Amino acid sequence: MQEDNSAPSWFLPTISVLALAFLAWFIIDQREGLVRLLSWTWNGLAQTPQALQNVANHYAFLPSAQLWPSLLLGALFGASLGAWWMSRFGPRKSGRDTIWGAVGGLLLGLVGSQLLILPMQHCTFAAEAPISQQIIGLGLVLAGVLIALLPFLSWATRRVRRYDSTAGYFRSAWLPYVLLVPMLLSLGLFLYLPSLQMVGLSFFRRRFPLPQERFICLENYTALFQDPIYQNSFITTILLMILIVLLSLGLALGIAVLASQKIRYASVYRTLLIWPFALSPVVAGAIFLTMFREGPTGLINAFTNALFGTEYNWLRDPRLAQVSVIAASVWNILGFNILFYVAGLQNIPKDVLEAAMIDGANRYQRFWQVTFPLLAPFTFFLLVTNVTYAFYGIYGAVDTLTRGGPPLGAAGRDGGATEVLIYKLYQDAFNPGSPVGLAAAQAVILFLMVASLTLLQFRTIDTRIAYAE
Amino acid sequence: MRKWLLGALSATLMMILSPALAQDQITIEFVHIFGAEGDTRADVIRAIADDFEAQTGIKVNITSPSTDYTELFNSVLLNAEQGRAPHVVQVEEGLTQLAADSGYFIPISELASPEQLATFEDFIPTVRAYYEIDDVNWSVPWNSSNPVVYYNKTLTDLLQIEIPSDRPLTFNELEGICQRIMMAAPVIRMRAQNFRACINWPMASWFLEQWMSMKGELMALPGNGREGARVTEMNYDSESLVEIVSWIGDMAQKGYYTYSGTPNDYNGEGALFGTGATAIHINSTAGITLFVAGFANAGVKLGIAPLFIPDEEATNGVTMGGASLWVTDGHSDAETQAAVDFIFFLTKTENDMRFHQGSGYFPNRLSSIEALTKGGLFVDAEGNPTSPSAEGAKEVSWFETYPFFRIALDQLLASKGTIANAGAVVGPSSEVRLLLVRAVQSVVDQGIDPAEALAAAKAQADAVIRDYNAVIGN
Repeated sequence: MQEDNSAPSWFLPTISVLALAFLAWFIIDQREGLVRLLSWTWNGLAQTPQALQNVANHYAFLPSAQLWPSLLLGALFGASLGAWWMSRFGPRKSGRDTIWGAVGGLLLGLVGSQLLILPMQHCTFAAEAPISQQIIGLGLVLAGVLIALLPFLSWATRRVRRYDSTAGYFRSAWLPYVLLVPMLLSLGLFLYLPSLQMVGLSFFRRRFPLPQERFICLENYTALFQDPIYQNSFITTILLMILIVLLSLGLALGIAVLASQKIRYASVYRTLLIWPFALSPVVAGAIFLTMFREGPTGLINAFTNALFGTEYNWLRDPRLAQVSVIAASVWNILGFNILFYVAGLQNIPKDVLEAAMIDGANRYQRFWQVTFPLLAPFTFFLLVTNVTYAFYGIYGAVDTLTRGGPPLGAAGRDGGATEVLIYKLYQDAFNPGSPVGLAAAQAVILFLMVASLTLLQFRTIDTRIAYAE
Repeated sequence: MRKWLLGALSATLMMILSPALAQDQITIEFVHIFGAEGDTRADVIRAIADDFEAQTGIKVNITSPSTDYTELFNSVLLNAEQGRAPHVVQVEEGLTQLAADSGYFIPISELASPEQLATFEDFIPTVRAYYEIDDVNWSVPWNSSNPVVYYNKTLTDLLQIEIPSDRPLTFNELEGICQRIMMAAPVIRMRAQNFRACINWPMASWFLEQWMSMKGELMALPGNGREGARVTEMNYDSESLVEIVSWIGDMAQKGYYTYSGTPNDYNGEGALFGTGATAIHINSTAGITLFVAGFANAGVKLGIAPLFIPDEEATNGVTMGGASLWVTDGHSDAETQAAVDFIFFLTKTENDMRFHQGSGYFPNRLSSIEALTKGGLFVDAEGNPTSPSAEGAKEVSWFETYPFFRIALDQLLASKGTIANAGAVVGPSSEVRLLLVRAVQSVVDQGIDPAEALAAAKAQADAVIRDYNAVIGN
């Protein structure tokens, strides 16, 4: 601690006192809510013995025909996975490893097979369950085995490292965890717990906002996949996502290249180009509504009417409605992409470009063979972000512009032209009397889609990117 | 330093804890949707609540958490789940079945005293019937509205077209008028460049429900859900509805009818009419004062007429729109009684008149209508509105001074009060209404055959109702 830069001696005590006073005021002011939160948590925990009793009862009364498929599959899959893994990656790579792997895999496979099936009360293997649900049930068993087995296998085949306890920022071992606890608590309470509750909700038939509900196992999921409106939602979402991502990335790259030229006021242009990103998707949708509106009150139609004497049904024609939504979304996310591309372009080392120039590459070759590959980390990051935006953030534009778009087919029985998955989800969740259980199932499917897309992107593209050291 | 800190902390603690030491007083919470910036209806409501507070000493907290009926209803139910529901809630008519099924509300007929229940006789029959399910009065009608026809009187006078204000025109007569207006369209466009079509109205199911009610037809079976049994199917494939939707498709095809492109866009359609894109407009009476003021500002004459009827025989009358006041469960007896008393105070004759005069929603009570016919407005020597205590103030008939208010009211008084007028009570009301809207959209925008569109809407709506009934049971 330097003498000149140290804080005055009254600083730390005053800050501590003020912080304590604020904490005291907060707790007293919010005492009602805090007491309610604590009592709710306590009630939840106090139900544990009852919950365990319920589980025991469930197994006691479960017909064996419903139980053995999951146990058998879990045991077989767990044992074979454990044996194979240990034989390939085990520390000693001997026969003993394989046996240990098989035994551990068998036991954990039995436990893991029940992980996902038990909350659903083994309903997928009930006698009256349709084939589709039984197959999904088998898949859930395999997933449960993987969840139970993989941590154990990773631990069993870890490379042993000696940890230097004196390295790192924190001297004490417990302080980091104490500092993490508030964040983990709020994440757990407001993100993970509601997500689990929503997964539970997807197994019920329920009408928002009434409290009554009926347990229907996986019927929500099977109904969705057979619903032509949901299938249309699916296809529309994929189509719009591809177009939005390609357009926004392409345009952003071009604009970023132009904005990175050495011209006067380039920084001003760059700032102005980034601004649309700060607008919420609803505002972007509202701006584009004034442009795409029907009749002479819409700006675009006013122009085309004056120039060519024609008007277009931007919001009532299925194809044009999709164009409107794509335009609003691309414009909204463009600033974000430009921001990153400009940063990326500024980080391209000049000597590589000069070397390419010396080697005789023209402008296009320099761009596509040198600049673009060096921008690959940015492109990859923007790809992931844009895909997430195209799945979720597009809701604001759709709701403002088209409300799910012109209906296709008689009375919209083929869906809506711009009814994307997230929009259909909201409609099925928050309108009075709407099927919120179905919406929960849609949310789970959407989450799995985006998660697997992101995982896919990480596995395929990220491995091919050369990150700068 | 330490003593100072201690003193400051204890002072702060005293200040924070002092509200808890205050006396016990009955406070009730009332939520409504009129809380938008500059909405004068909220001021009228607050003034009425202040009178109630002065009379009874019960504190009334009024908030407007949302300006949308659906959002308000959702937030009230979520609060009710946690045991913190407001005492009095404004619930839209379409949400009646949901509110009844939720179990968070108590029917007003179970809570009101015999004297209070006797005042129900004073309500306009159709209005009262709208909030009755199975002879049980769940709520008290409050803000009620009807559709009326607004038209550009300057234009129709110029073209020598007459739209009477004492009798409704039929669809055929309307088509004839539209033909004449559209023939003059090039001339009209020289003055108003954005003139597009003869007539527009919001692409919503409310207007079709009116026309079905006029024909005496039910929207949902059995018995619109009001005769002891739950609704099991929608009556979308009825011949009358096919006829009405075919007519709308014809009007659109001939270029007489247009809409903004967005369904349920009441404001957007009003804007289309207000900017001269159409000559005739159908919308709710709830916006009457806005249209009158807007046209007066623009120097264009506004005409108001009763809603068109499908044909000469369709005389059963209109249904309604709007919202009513419900009481929630889970409060102390004293608070619940205070809430009931407040509701009946808010809807008694004198305050019913005040709310009508300050909003545009029509008066619900026959006694209010009588009082407003005989008087209700104080004017000075020049005929300008003034306060009752001003010098030289004279009382004149409210309805004679503002005859356009009378038009919507007469339309409602003329309706027969049958089950058809009472409207359908359906759980998933927004879904089934949206399906009807989609059917009309597919006829208007894609030219699909009306019978096919309505059959598809019926199939989907019936599936939704089956699913709803499977959850709620009984």
